[in-house]
Amino acid sequence: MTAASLLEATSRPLLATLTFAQDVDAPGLWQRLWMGKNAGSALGDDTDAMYIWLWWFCVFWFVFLMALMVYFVAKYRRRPGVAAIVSPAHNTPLEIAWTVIPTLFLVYIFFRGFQGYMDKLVSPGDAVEMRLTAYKWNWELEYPNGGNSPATAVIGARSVPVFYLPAGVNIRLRMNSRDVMHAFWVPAFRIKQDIVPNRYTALWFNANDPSGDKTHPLDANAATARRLLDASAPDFIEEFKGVPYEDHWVFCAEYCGDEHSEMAAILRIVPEDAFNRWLPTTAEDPNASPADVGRAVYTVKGCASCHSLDGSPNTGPTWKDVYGHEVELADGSRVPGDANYIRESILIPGAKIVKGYGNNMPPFVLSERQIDGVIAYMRTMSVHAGGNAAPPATAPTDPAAPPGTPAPAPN
Amino acid sequence: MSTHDVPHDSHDPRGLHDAHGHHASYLAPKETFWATVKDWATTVDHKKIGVMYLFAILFMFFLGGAAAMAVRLELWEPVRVVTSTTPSGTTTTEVTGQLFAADAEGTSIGPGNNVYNRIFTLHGAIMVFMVIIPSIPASLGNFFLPIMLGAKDVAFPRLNLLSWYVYLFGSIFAVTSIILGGVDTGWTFYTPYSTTTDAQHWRVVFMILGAFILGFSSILTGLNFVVTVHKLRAPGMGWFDMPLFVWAIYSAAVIQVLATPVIGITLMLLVFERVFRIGIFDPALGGDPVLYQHFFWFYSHPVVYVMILPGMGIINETIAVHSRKKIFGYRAIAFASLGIAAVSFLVWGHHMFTSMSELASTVFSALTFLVAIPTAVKVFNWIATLYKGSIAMNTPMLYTLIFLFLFSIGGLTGLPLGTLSTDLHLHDSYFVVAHFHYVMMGGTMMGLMAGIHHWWPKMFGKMYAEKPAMIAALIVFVGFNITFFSQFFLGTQGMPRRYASYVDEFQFLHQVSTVGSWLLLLGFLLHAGVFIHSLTQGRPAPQNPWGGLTFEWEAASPPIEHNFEHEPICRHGPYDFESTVPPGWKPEDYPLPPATAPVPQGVVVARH
Amino acid sequence: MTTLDTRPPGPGAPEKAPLWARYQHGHHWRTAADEFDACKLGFWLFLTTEVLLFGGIFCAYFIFRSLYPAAWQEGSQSLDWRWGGLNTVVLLLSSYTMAASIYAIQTNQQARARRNLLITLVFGGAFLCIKFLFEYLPKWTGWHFDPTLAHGALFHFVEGYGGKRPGSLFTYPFATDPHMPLWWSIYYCGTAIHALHVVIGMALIARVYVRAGRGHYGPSHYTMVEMTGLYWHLVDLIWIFLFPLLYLIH
Repeated sequence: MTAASLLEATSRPLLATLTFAQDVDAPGLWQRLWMGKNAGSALGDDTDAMYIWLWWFCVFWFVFLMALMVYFVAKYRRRPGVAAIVSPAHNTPLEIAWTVIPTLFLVYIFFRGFQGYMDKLVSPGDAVEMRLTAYKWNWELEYPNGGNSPATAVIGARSVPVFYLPAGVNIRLRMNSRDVMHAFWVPAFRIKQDIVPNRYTALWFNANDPSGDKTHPLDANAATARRLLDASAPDFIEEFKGVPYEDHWVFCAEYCGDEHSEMAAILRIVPEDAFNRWLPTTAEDPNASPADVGRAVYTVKGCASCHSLDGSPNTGPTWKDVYGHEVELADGSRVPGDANYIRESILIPGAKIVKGYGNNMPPFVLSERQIDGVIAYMRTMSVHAGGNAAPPATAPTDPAAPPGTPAPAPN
Repeated sequence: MSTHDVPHDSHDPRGLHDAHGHHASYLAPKETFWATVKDWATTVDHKKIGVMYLFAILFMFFLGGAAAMAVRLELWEPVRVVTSTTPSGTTTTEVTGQLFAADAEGTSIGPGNNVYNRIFTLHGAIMVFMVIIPSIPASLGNFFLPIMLGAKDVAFPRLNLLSWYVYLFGSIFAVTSIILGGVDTGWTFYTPYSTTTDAQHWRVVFMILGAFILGFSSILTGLNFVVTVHKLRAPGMGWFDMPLFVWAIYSAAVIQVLATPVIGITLMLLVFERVFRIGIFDPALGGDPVLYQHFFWFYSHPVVYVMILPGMGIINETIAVHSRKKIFGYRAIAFASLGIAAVSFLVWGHHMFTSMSELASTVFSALTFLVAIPTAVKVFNWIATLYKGSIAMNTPMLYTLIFLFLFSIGGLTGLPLGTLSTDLHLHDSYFVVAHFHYVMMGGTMMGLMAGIHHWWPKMFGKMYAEKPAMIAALIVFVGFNITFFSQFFLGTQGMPRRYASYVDEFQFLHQVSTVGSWLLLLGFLLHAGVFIHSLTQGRPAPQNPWGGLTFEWEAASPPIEHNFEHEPICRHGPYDFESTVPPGWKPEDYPLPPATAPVPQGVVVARH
Repeated sequence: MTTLDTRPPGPGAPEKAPLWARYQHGHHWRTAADEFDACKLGFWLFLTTEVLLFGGIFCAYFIFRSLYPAAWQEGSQSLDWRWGGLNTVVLLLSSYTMAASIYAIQTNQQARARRNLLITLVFGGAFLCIKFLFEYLPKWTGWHFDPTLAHGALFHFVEGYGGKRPGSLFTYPFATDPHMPLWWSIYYCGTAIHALHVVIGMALIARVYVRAGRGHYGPSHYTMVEMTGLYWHLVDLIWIFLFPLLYLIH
């Protein structure tokens, strides 16, 4: 029995005991108090076991010390005219004991922590590798077939990407930043790793199967806690309707500027077979029209998080009525919003800053086909296209919508 | 009067009786207002410098605290973008929940977040560089280190004045940066964000230069203290006769001298990187942003021990005096202080577990646990000091108990952070924020409050109103726990730090924390009121209100300009409460335990 | 006094005695010897801080050297060890003259002491001139300084030589390694911060020179001269480390 499997075998029962859970898989009182719910992965639960053990360790010694302190203060309070009782100011056996015993405890804690750390950090050899890119202020995940998860969700203040991932599979993320330091934190898995601009860092996890999700009867939020968007939301992918799923937040955990707090993502864990059926559809379609390619880029490359399609202001200028119009820049000059301008804005965004906006966009690496696609897509949103506006692609337009509004993006 | 028998004659090797006859209190004003101003502006008297530092630090504390109140206010509710459609079909979007929106139209969240980011950076930079690092050493340390050693001043009085002006000058740089609009890099200035953000260079450069200049003040103060302890002890005072406050200040001073130059070069390189793009931290030019983190934390970890050691030093004094008990394990505490100072240089990587290799992280985690042991031993020693004591309940003692409570929580919560597997979850979350506020504010600041109240009668010659001060202390205690204990739960549940907004599930705990901050403000305002009342209407303080045995209690309240009428000679230990009548007390007023015989008059206790 | 005392030493010694003989130590000290010892301890602590300051640069040097050895090799080959060597000799000589001036003060040879201080200053200035005119200027801009007027003017431009600048300012067209700008950044940071310390040292020496002229220093009181000497020796020592690391090790 390896250390890791021993850890795994004892952690869940230990966690259940320490947290007063009624069921070895359900979150106990203290796990819910501290973590909100049980972890989304087995190693996450191991971490919780370590944490809750530490919690009780600290509680025990803290209560002991404070009780002693309060007791002494009460018992030995000053009485006028009465001197303090003489007692030695040294006690070598006691001092040795209270040095050695904490040391032994700390050595134990260090080793337990080290084991859990190595388990979480060293990815299994059979892990499926996916590429994660972080930039101000969004995430991009690329599947092994080169495709991306096309879903986004609008929560709170902005749109966040939804990354569909299979349960029960060892997934390793090879991560890199396009600009400043970021960090990828999945609280549910209890893992985090910094993302650095000049090298790759890695993180791996194995998500629990959502159909096995057991919720504690007392956990009133359990039914909704793990479904950050329900199946009726417009961005929900068709293939996964009716399939059990579980959502986990991803937060950026290294300060990166203005929208650091909005730089979130959702990991949607779905059963492996459903995921494998759906995955081939994410690969780039060689027959898609340029505007369709552009629409996909808009979603999966994260343009949606800063650029609106309907004229409303956001972190970056809207894409509506750019192509074929004149663009006013921050230095007062006016340039034509033509294909060259759009291309430059993607590859060297800092070259021309639109009036009223900051120099916040990182450069994007898009293929020529993708750049053509973005240009074509932006043409569909221009009233005066200066040429034939390409018709909106496959999704049906809503006859009730006023003319000029873009077609809803297909899922 | 003391029992020293140095004769009043011309043999006066330390020049205490000079021709100018300075027997007036150091606080006595000069003939005219401007003469008094000039006196304070050009003083080399460590007491005046200490008092000026004290008021500057308390002022900066309120400034940084105001920023904190703003931070907590912004976090009352999350930022939401609400899109609504009117019946006529027009959609409007507006941003709600954002307190400090800078965007005129209010529809984009970035500008408002930017204001918040600048406010939390301000809070951190002011609190770390202008409050906590100088807090105890520059104020109470300056005032009492020489006096406790029986000296007339620190080793280099003019250097001390220079330290004070450098502190002012550095603070002006920082304030200039704030007036120009402030920076949003976080007080840690991580690259590449700090070297690439904000097209207006000068705000970032001024703030960094401010920190750099403040570093010089810290180095010079530390240097002064180290030499003072080595060279200016009273006759008869060996190393193990010194009060433990002196040991603490000395250990902190050693760290200040050795660690601060590293942040100096780091900040200098950061300015060059920012202004000249030299590329040392820039991945595009081959540099390494993680190298910056190593350089930064190589100083910034030892500096947290500069922050806490003096606080612990004060606790030694208050707990002994107000329990009338010899400190348990004097040598253990003295060596633990030095040990903490030494090991503090070996653990900086525990701030970077998520950006270092596995091997480095493992080594740093092991060393971090090592530094926990002397700290824990100190806490045990203090509690053991209470055993069979005679414990008075007053504001210094109350703050001592508050320190023990809050610092223990802070120290214990360091365990999940030093443990590698749990730190992967807790790093850069609110758990860390709560931990360091418990140790820095619950430790150092509560130690400072204990020290201020303990030495207030000595420094200003006035008593403060005890009951209102104790009520204020309790309000601070309750407010502090409400503010920061809730943040431990926020952290474990997944709330990252430095966030201007958050997802809905965290709102309740954030609101609890904000309410706590209002209580904290109330408590400190009450303290300010007690201080002002004492300075204007407080009753005069006796020479030794608490019955302390260290040299400051042999001086007048407030001390004369040269501290002592006659050079004190060390005749008893600093905590010999069982056998010594405190200076300024009549024997009949001070109960000695019957089992001990008092030291006969005229006998010099052999030291060394 | 408890405020800054700018008055000349008080009475007690005969008026004809030089200033250094009438020196009164700070009244918080028991003896002048105590004060001198304390000043030495304090100054050594300060020197430690300077060593740690440069330690950061050395640390960066070694880290990037191990990451980019090719750039380091190319960089140090583009430095002329003869100028660096000359500078090393200049600083070593200046340290000797500085020590000689301290000895002279200790034996009350005031004129000799002042002469040696002046020579030290001149050597310091020579160091800065060599560094600026023969190293920084040509590398940064391509303009070479030639006092022999071999090219007809004091300064002449050499094409393709300049542009060796730090970081993003690097424009030297013939660099073969992409990390050359980093090497130059370390070179300039190290040598410029060192040059700043040379300037500070020269200012201290100048002040001591002026005050020595007024008779402030003598056998019983030469603290400031000793401290300045220590500072100057440290400046020399830092260069002794910088020189081989930058110029000699390939």
